Amino acid sequence: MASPRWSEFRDGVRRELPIQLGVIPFGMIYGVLAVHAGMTPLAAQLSSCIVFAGSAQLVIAQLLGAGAAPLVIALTAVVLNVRHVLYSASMAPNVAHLPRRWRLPLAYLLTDEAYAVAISRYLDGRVENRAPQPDYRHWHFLGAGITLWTFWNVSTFVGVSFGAQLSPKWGLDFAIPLTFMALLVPSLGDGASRVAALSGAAASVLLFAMPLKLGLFCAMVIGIGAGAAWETFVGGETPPKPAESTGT
Amino acid sequence: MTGTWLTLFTVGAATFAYRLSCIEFGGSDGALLARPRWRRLLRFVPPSAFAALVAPEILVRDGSLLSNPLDPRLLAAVAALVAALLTRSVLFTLASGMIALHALSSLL
Repeated sequence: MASPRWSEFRDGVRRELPIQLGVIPFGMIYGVLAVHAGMTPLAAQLSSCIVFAGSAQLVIAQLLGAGAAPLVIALTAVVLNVRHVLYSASMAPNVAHLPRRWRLPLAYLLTDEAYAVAISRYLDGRVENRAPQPDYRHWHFLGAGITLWTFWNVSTFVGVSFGAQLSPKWGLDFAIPLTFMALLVPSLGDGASRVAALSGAAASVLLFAMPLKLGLFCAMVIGIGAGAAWETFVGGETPPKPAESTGT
Repeated sequence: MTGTWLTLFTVGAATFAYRLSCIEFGGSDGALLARPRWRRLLRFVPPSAFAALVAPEILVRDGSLLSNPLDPRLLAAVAALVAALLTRSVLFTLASGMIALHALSSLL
């Protein structure tokens, strides 16, 4: 008979596996494009451990390739990643009671895809309905998180290994904006989000000539402000759940 | 090269801080950014950021606004957008856009 810890862990791994069908190609695409944009294979690979957030990693690669200043790149990626605060807020009531040796690694593993699996385990409520017993659902979270981390880093490695061999004449620089487009579409769920996207896009084109690629950061802030303003003054639609997946 | 590592560690530290914020500082609105006033802004980050990343790559060419409506990259981007709307898949979006780009580049 498996221990309850181990069986939670194994269930977390098992439920994370189907999501890897989307993670593996994205990790490989990131690896290929990062090297193609001029990152060294080592930096491209370690970004998957240090940053561990696919869309931000891709932004860093693209802006490094475009010769932007490190501070501006960091500023842009830091704004993009701020959405992780929402996952932290959603997960906090479930894991805040754990000792620090659990809280730190679980926070590190709190990506879009691991969040989706872990939160559904916390929401399904089977544990509370039974007689009082220890709660091992953090093992479920850990299993999902480690699975995602492993697949993300291995697929990055495969992409990085391929990336060095691809020819520049294939026009792969165009693949980065296409990838962002695929990440954009699922976030356009309601009117205010579409206003945010259109304003961000228009501002980004108009501010393109700003020095140091600062136009991108300014355009993101303008888009966020326009979406919020639209929601306040025009549209009162129910906002979609923040948990929708927008890449690792 | 130092700049690359500086960027990676800065973004990595910030991302970890975001993920840890509410878990470490008590409850679902423990972090400043998770309070309702800020939280309603956060859902506009992905649409705004991704659109701002895509638009100039397609609409700006050599520093000025694209004027040719039959530009291969523009048309390939439309093909990729259709694929993204239909499939919601990074892989299919990328494949449609790249195949369209190469087909159109040899035609136009």
